[in-house]
Amino acid sequence: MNISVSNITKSFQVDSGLSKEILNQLNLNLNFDDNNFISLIAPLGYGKSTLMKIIAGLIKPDKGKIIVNEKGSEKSLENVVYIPTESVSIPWLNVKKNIEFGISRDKLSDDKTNFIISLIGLEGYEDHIPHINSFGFRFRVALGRALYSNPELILIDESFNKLDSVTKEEIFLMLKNVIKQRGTKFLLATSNLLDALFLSDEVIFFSKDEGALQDYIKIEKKFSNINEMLQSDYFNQLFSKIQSKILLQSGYRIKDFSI
Amino acid sequence: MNSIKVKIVILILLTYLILFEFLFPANGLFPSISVILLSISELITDYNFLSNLASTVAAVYITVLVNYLIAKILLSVIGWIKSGKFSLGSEILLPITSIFRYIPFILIALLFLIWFPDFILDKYLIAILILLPQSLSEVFDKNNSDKASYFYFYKSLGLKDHQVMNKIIFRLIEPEILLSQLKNHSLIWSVVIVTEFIQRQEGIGGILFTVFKYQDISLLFTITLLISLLVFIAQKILNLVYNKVYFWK
Repeated sequence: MNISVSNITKSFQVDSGLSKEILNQLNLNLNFDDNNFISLIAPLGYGKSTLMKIIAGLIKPDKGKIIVNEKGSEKSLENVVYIPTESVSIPWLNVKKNIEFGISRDKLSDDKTNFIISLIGLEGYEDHIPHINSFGFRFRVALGRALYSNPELILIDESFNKLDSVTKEEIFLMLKNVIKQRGTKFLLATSNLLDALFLSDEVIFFSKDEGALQDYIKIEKKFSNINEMLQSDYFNQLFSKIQSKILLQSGYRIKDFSI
Repeated sequence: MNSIKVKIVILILLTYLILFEFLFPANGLFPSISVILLSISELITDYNFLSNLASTVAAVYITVLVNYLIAKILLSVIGWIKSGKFSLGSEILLPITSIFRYIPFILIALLFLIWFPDFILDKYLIAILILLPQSLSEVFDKNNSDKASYFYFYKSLGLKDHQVMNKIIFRLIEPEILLSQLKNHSLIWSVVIVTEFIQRQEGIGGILFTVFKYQDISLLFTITLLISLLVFIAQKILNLVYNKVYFWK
């Protein structure tokens, strides 16, 4: 599956008569034929969330379109789940009911629910109500609900910012396991370089402005944890490349990103 | 109640008993305990207190229920109108609810009473008129960004706008609507009693009018005591129910 973001422009009305342009004729290519996990990297406020919502079909662009090609033919993008920054587990339902929420009875299956619960690492927590749990726990629940609908693509919008480093690492390993077992495709919008470099097969730096910076970096090497990645020569080379090629050219500064 | 509170209450009761039962029994300000007990029996036999109380209680809690239903219908309608993009209608409702804050509703209520002096539903209408804008503004003033996240997530999962609004968003807001009612609980009682008083209609306010007419201080004192106690107990019960039902809030 190849998703082309073609000339997308989007503005929002911020006050009566005043509008703010969030995206300006943005062109991007998301190649999910070769990659399972792609990250979009830009500093906060650069329109990543807006672009994610446009890809998910939740909001319409003012101009431009999303073109999806699969096996040589154009198709419409359906069954894309958008996981927002904030927690979206339903606070009065237990884990199992959250994961099955909104699914018609004829499509419900205990085997599938149990498989997904084990996939997201919540075995034994089926009857647990997640309202008092950490953000990481609730992210797992949201991901479980997303996986139940067998999505073509899951969009994750800056969802890891609130996680501590230990939980983040657990979640990342869980995501890698989901990709391994289910082949699920993910698109992550983030301003965190390390998250993106650790998780992704490809990272895309982008700017909201027409003709501005856009660069694709293929991540060839995978690491079992973030520490291992940080200590590797590969990461140092990659980081130097990002600093010299991207940050210096773009006018972005390293402090624009979280690490 | 903890033991300190119980001790304080007992101390106040004992002080009251000594002061107004034995030392100053006929003072024209505070009735003695024995007179209060006699007044309770008089209220029940001569003033039909229980049936009047039932009328006032019905008005108070029907007002709460109607406010809740109006908010629910309003949100559903807004959800339907704004189908396709998330909005709790704040841009529509905030200006209206802000204006409401500057309108002297108590004077409008008085006008209403002059226009329709004998209308049986006056107390319901006036209580709703005064309290609904407050409830709505409290709900719509809240930051709704987390609700927008729910909306986008479940919509991307294929749920219809109205399903997301009714099954999730409204249920997330529901505690805030009821909490605003709970906060105004004693105010609703006051509004209903004052309306009954002015209209001289059935209800505690109606009894108060008669009591005022005859300047019966012991009855007035007894009614105030009973209603305060009732509102206090009702508030405690409602808080318990709220915490039980909305355990996740």
